[in-house]
Amino acid sequence: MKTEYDDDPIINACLSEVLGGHAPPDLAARIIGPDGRTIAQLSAQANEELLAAIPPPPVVTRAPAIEIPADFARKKKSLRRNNQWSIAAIVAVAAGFVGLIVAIGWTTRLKSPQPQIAKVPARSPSLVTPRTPPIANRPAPAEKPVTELPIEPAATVPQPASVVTIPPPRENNLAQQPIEPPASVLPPAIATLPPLKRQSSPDNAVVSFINNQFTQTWKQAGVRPTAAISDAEWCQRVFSRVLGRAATADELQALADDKSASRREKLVRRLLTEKTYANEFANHWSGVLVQAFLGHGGSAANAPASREDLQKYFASALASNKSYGQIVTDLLTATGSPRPGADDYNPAVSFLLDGMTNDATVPTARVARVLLGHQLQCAQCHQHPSQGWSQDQYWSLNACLRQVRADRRDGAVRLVTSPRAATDTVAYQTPDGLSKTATPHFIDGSPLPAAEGGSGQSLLASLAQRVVASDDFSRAAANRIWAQIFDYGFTRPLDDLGPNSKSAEPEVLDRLAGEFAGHDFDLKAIIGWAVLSEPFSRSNKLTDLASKDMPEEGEMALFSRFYSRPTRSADAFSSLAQVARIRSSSSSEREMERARVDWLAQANRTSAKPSPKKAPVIDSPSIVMTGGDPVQRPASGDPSGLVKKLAASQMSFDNKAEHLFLVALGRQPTARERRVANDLLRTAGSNQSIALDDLWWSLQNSSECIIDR
Amino acid sequence: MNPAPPQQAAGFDPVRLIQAYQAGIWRYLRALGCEASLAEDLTQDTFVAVIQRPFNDVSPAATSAYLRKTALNMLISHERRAGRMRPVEDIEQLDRTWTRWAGDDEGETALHHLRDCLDRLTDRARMALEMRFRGEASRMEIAAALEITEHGAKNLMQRAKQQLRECVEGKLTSSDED
Repeated sequence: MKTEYDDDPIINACLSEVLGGHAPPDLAARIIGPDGRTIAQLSAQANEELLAAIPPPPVVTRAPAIEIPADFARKKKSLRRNNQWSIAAIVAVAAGFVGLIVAIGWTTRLKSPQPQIAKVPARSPSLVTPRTPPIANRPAPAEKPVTELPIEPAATVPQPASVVTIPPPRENNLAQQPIEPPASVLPPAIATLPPLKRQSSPDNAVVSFINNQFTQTWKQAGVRPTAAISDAEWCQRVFSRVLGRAATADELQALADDKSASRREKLVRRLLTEKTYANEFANHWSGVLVQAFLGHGGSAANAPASREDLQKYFASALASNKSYGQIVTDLLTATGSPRPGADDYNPAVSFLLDGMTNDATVPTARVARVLLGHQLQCAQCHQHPSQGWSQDQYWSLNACLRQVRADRRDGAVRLVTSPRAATDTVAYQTPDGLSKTATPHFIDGSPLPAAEGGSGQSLLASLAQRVVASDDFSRAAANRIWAQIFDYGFTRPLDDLGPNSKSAEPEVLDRLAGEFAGHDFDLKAIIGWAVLSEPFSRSNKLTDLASKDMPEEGEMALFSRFYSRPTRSADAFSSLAQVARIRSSSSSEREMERARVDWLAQANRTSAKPSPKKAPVIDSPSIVMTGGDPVQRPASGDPSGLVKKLAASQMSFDNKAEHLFLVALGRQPTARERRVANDLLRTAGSNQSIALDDLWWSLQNSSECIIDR
Repeated sequence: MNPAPPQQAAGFDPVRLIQAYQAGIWRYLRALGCEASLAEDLTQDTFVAVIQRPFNDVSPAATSAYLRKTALNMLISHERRAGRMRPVEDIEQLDRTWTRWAGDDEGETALHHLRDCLDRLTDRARMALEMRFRGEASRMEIAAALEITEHGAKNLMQRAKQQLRECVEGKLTSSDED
């Protein structure tokens, strides 16, 4: 078809068929073979037949056996006997030689000082059974059982590889020698990141910066941003992302009535500051945070951590406007019981308590990933192959978190301070079997100043301080909050700021992170900047089929369009008609629900061929996706009670239906949509509650719904 | 060893599925701007993909929607592989319009209405469209035949197509209300 006639592709296609005779071909025979198999299956069989047609490799024949002389066996026996005597003689001489060397060595050892070795408490679970030396010569058992491990001498040359630190043995009562960390042990890729510029600019300055940066990026990438959305759609989107619910018709109307140029800024300010919305904000974002910090943990009935109570903690903290930095400090320094009713009830403990074992490996990985954006867990067993994290860095962080442990007593679990000293070491083994130790340090190698007395609690307080002060913390937090608003962060995966995570907008991430820190980690501030930015006001309608901005296909997210959550099935009219049909043909509520889900799942199922670029694994457990796969989960429910309120009101059914259309689609229903809505009422036996429920379900799941889920 | 035949869902008949929906899917892809040969290939790919994952055929509307979505994804993947920058006015709007035109019979009624509406055009407008779509004439040839300028030929055909669209839409709306 000539491009100059692409003005109306539907009419063109129809005219081409009607006038041009281009009728639809019959493809059945091409798709399905004579025996009922598809061409894919036929070609798979053809491949097998081809392979089967290749001749097998030639069989190697054995050489003929050599005839053995008759007296060979006798000669062989004699030779064997002679050989045995020779070997015995050699072994005897060798044994004597070794014994001589050992005797000399033993004599020498008695005269010279003992070499330094690391002593580790035997209860450490990461202790590996050492290789027994050929001559066993273990020291007499000390008061506290320890195990001696031969290790390399200390290295003080700063290098990204693992660094061995040798603490003084405790039972010798040597003075606590300060342990000098290496100058810089950060992986090179992390070390080269510029330090964040922490500043506290006015909101409009931050938003302008974001917008200018994206405009430049889109231009450079040759990407055309989608159209700007209407106020109604924008309003629904803001309510959804900030408060987790749809805007009511009154709230939509309020924005429509405000003709000022700053109406959107005013609305965002209201949602984030007015008491009316404070609880809704806290409830919505507490769900976001618990998902981010715990993932799916703490849900099981017998889980030591309590997801529900942690969420209550988050809700309470957000309602009292606690900063994100303070929340994280609470999480890292919490001790006590996660369950209400206990004397030491402290719901914040669940962050570290979930998965806590004697070796604290699970919380170590979680702290690094969630709070610092680093995938440190690989370095537990070996140096990270691509990011350069060393085992020492992992175990140094682990040593900090060993200051607390899960205490199981009387059927209850609580997080308590461990009786370890703040400078206690942790032993680990390298892949080549060498045993090493690590002391509590931050991941950048810097020591953590413990308070006088060196208690575990003060060490954790130092760790919390160091975490919150680090640039990684600010970046990881900004990335996560942006991803919550836009469904994609600046990096992929979300919680990996390492060298393999590229971002199209590192400047925006850095500015957001710096401003977030400068604003004392005010969550509402960063949310406000995100929803007032240009990318937030872009349509989710894909207009360029070959756009580079396709994170769904593994490309980098450029935010030139709003990435819609799974599309719905049909337009409003079709959706209404379908729901009416399902209700009239279903014999039970359960059957009706199943039919609705089937219908929606079919429409949302995608069958695109795999992209030539392999999409990276999207590992974002921190994104809110409660309830399973959102593709197959229909939009349902009425959290704001809108349908119930309408059903109870005195308005006519027509007006109620109109109200729902306004909220869900931002427009009035057409004549035939009104007709089908009345069909719903008839199908529901004139029960307005049921009919309105059906109507609400249809509209939410139609392709025109402007409510963002 | 022969591969096992596709697992059958309750009521899933691949042959019936293809026969019932292939015309609609092909037309849908043409409506999105595909050339006839590409529409043919993508229609084939759509059904091959769908047949490999049998599903419960809840209703014609649902199945149609599912097949269209699959076809659209095939088209998007094809365009991306070809690296073509072909802006489409509004895919979702096109999708909605075609869904309405396709109705329950894969667009047969809409085509029937189109034939009626063509008769209502002026002779000159009908001739221009016939030359364009039947004869594959260029705008210059059409202009020469009608003794008008090229610009005039373009406007004539655009107005004619607009009239046809409104006529078909009107007929479809009337049949809904009947």
